[in-house]
Amino acid sequence: MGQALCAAEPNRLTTIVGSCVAVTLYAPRCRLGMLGHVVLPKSRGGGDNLAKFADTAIPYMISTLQNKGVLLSDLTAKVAGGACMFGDSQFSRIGESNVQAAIEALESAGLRIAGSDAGGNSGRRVCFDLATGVLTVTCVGRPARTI
Amino acid sequence: MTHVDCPANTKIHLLRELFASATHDASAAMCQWTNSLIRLTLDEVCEMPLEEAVTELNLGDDLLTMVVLNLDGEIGGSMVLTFNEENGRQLAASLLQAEPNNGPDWNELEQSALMETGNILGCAYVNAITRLIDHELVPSAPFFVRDYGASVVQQVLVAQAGARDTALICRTCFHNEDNELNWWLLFVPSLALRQAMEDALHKPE
Repeated sequence: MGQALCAAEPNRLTTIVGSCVAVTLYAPRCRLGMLGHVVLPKSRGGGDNLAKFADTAIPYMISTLQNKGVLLSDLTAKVAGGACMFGDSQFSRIGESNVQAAIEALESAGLRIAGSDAGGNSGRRVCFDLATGVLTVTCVGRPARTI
Repeated sequence: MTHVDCPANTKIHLLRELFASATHDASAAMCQWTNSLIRLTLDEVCEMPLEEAVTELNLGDDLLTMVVLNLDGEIGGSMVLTFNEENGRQLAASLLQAEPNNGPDWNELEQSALMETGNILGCAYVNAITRLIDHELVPSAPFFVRDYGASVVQQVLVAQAGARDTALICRTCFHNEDNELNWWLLFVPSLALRQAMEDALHKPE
């Protein structure tokens, strides 16, 4: 939660998200990528943990991969999560805001969103295969889905 | 659990005393509700880095059966009562005086039995905190959830995540006679509730 990890093939990165959003950036030519676990949509200039907020996590992930020699044009992005789990408070709807903010940040950076599995009312287990860039998303009440 | 090494440890100690008292009340309520020797003990009151919270709670990757209660309002928080599938079914069966249901779905009566358990425990905690801070707390109706434990905990931590990079979590465990049960009660106060409790604990007598 609130972390962004970098890995290369043959590794797999796995996380579980509820209202949080898993954002992946993948460079297929070098089979290198990052998985960000975003908690909140906007940083509003606060906090040192860049990975926690969609608007800081995505630039951070991009610059981390660029520092490893990846070109922006090589990257594809995917998004999973952002569920409305339960309740009716402002925080119960944070998932939708997280997804919107992640998509905005990705589009601002000029990245193509190659796939998404977002919304709903259930948590997701997201497995990111660095050999292929494929996300396998498991959710209660439906078969596993790949994006 | 990982402890954050910070000057606020004294506050954590005082909060631990408060939650121990609340747990005692909840334990008495649980004994009455289950007509048995199921009791609660305070496991840990801890402040930990947000990115470690879910890992430290060791909820695993499996689906859990949970009851969630939110405390509405700015001075609020959330409680999550978690069971693995087998333990949850056994509790429901015991409360309904029926054989455990091994089917894939939970029927309404079973869900209701677990939600009422959450209600009873939640109210015991709320009453203890209300006595301390002299401010009414309003618990929501309970939610029955079957999902990844980590995904539910993330939802309840969001309120703290906005302002801090650490989370305060109170964890209580359950025992049946001498056996520890695979149930947990997590209490996550909002920042405002946490401040209200700390202020009340520091009030001169």
